[in-house]
Amino acid sequence: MNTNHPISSHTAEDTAARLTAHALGQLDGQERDDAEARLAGADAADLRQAATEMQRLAMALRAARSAELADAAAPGRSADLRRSVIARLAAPTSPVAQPVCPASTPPAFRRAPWGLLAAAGSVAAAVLVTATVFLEQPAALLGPIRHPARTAAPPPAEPAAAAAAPVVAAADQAASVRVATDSLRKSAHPEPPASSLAFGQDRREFARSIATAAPQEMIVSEKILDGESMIVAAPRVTLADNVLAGAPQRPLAEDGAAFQDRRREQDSRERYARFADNPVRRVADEPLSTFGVDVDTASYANIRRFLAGGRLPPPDSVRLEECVNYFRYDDRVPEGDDPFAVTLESATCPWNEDRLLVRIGIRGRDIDRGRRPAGNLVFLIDVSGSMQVADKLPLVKQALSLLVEELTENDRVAIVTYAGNAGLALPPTTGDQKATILAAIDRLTAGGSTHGSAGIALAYEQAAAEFIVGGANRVILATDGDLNVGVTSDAALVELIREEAAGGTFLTVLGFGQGNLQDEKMEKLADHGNGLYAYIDGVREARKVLVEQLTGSTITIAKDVKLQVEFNPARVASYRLLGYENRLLAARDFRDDRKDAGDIGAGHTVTALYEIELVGGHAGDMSAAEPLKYQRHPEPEPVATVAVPSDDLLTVKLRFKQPDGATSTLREYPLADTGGAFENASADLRFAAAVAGFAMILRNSDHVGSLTLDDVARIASRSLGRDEGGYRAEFIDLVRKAAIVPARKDIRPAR
Amino acid sequence: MDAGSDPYQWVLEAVDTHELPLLRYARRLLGDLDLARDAVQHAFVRLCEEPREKVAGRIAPWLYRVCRNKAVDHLRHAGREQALLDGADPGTAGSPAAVTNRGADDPARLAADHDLASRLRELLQHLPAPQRETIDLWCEGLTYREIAEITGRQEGHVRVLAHRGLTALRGQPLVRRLLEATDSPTSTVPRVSTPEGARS
Repeated sequence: MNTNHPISSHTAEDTAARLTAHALGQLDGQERDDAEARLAGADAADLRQAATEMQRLAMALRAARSAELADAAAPGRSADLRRSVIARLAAPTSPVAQPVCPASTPPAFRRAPWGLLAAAGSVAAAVLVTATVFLEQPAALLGPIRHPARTAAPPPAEPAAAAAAPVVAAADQAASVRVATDSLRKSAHPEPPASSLAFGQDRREFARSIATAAPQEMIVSEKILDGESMIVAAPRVTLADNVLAGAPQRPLAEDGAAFQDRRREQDSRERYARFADNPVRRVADEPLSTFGVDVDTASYANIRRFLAGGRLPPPDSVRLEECVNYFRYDDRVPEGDDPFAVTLESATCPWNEDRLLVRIGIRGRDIDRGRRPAGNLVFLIDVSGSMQVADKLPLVKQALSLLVEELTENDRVAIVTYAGNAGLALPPTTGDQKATILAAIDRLTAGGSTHGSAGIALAYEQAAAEFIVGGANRVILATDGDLNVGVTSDAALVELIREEAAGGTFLTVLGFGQGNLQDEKMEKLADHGNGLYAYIDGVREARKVLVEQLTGSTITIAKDVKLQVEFNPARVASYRLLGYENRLLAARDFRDDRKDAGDIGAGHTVTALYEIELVGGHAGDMSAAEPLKYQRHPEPEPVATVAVPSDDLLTVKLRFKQPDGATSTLREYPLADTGGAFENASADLRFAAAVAGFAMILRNSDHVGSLTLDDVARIASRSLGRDEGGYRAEFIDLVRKAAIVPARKDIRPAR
Repeated sequence: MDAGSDPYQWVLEAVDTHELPLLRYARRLLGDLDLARDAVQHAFVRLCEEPREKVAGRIAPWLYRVCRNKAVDHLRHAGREQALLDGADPGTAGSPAAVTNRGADDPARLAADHDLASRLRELLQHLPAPQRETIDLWCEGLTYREIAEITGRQEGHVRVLAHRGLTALRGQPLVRRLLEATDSPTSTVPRVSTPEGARS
């Protein structure tokens, strides 16, 4: 050892680490000179050997890494990213960025990732070839990777040489190694090759023109009547997405006709109940608007799945309230023992300035996860053959594994499967025995036919055996919807679920997969079971539903929550409830405690939106019908106007029962303020309006006025709020996606 | 608005240059491509909000840093942050023996497996996370100093992590065989200057 050398004052490992750093081109100035002197020593053959090997190994690793995911940034995804970037940049009010990077001295960005300037798989593949070659030809690679700072001025980019490297590699291996290392060094220069830049530029232009301008040429001029005919245009989207991504290297695996057939067949198996938008109601005729709350969010996830596949969702699959309720709003937190807090706000309606948009936000009390009541969870898992595909059983297993992490010793979990090999996959087990539970989850395999009812009975038995008084007793059904009830009729199944719900065991339904989804039926089952229905389209959604909402989806803080809005005829001429079409109740059902309604879990927020027209508004009576010929129009009920004169616009009345209660409690919240301009409203109101507008456009609603997808994206991008989890940003992405899907003629394109 | 003054341009160029390397990096941290995409998208969306002059010249480390923070947040949420943060680094335990790789020294398997890149990746996968992360970032073209900034470690620590990781890998039978098969002892003196042809 050369003991008088400065390096030797460090530990042996540190010294060796320096030499490795040198081999990797990471040393500067004095340190570099020291390292070189050390390696040049007569007794340093071992060190030289080590440094060379380290360098060759590192280069091989680099080449191996660069071959990874070569096609991942290609079709579709890159375009998505671009669109969300564009959407964010297009938003004029850029939120204040939080500091993420320490404000340290910025080191010069000296070395651009090499060979990665384009996502083209061919580049990465070529690099891999040269790396393999280099392992066989060590002689040409002996110089350390030079630190770019050492060259006084970086050489100008030489796109021709860099681009040619792979070609040369094929022709002349020995020379290629040199060229390859050369291009590695060159990559220290941050300029990408000109050819790739030009290509990228074209792509960007194209992406921007599609994302921001009217894609008129992409609109299919076909009369579309239902979800089936809509998909005829699907192959064109895929193509457009490929072009957007700049790398049409993943061609459709099947020809257009086969693709369409398959899509049509898939879609045709999905069932959505038809429903019409709520109409405008005259306050004089119907001063009360009544509905049960709904915290389901399945429709939004389902829409996302359609758009991800390049198709517009069938109008009847779009449930406005489920879209709006997908997002969290920063509503007031309940105080004291109140299970809810209610926030009311109004502002000018963005799609009709003659009306007001009223937002009713209900927020359920949060229960700290650490203090939540014990859970008695029985998973009822469909393991029929149709569950085999990646987005079904494997996703179920992933989702369950996520949930298991959250459980404690106070919780009980059991797993029941139903299919040919139905049975008890996991007897009730405490939540701290995670290994046992995870092993049972791991063993689940799909196969056999579906026979749902026997499994349900077994699941309820397990739940009953471990029933926790005051706990969250749930059966959680995970299925793709192919619930063949066999000998049992639908009615008997519903009866069973209702009975169990009355006994305190609720049913949550998680829908998985596509093409077989019986949305309506699954939602109905969950409704009867006092539970939640969620459609799980990916790990992200699984986490949201099972983990983030763990307390929400397992602890009901109030049940049969009904909402009734009484409008003041002295101030409001007419109103329209947005969404909740299949949750409407007759006014008299509001006080009828025998009538079922939705439940609210801890931490849930529920939002309802109304469009209202004030008395004496510019537009006149928005529900104005032709005058009746044989009778006079009924006058407003004098009771309301005379007996209780008030400046209120409306009063929200909320009825709910305690989770174990039988009689309901009433709360009332009046709203008098007409609010101001839409732009000055809270971010929550504006964002909810954007989501509602999106849903109405997808539903091809007549009520949305001249609002376009572009408007929706703009409103949303200015109302992101804190956006924990990035869900709102994702929404903007989805709106952009909808804007480039070859639209049905009846859907308004982005302007 | 002409293309030259287009305010989108620089971010879109960053997407072109960094999306794929970031995606690879994030996927290795998170072990899931979809989660990785979320993290990468998050980084770029945040980049849009950043004044250009503030990140000029350090876009790459900035993006990696934001992306990493997002990934760490996620892992923390899932109770897995120990997998990434230093607690899991067994220090000198990154010896060849600690990098066990089932079947790597099985000649039949090696002979049957021509996919060198995937074998190397597999070996890399078995390193302690801090070592692997350091090597990964170097592979993506970042300097030690940038890696230190991204991971919040001292540059000296980064240096040691890279060295330990490579040393451990170098001891692996697969790597030994590859290095020895191509070894020519007479020419192992590392050349200090860049070959002429490499500079033109």
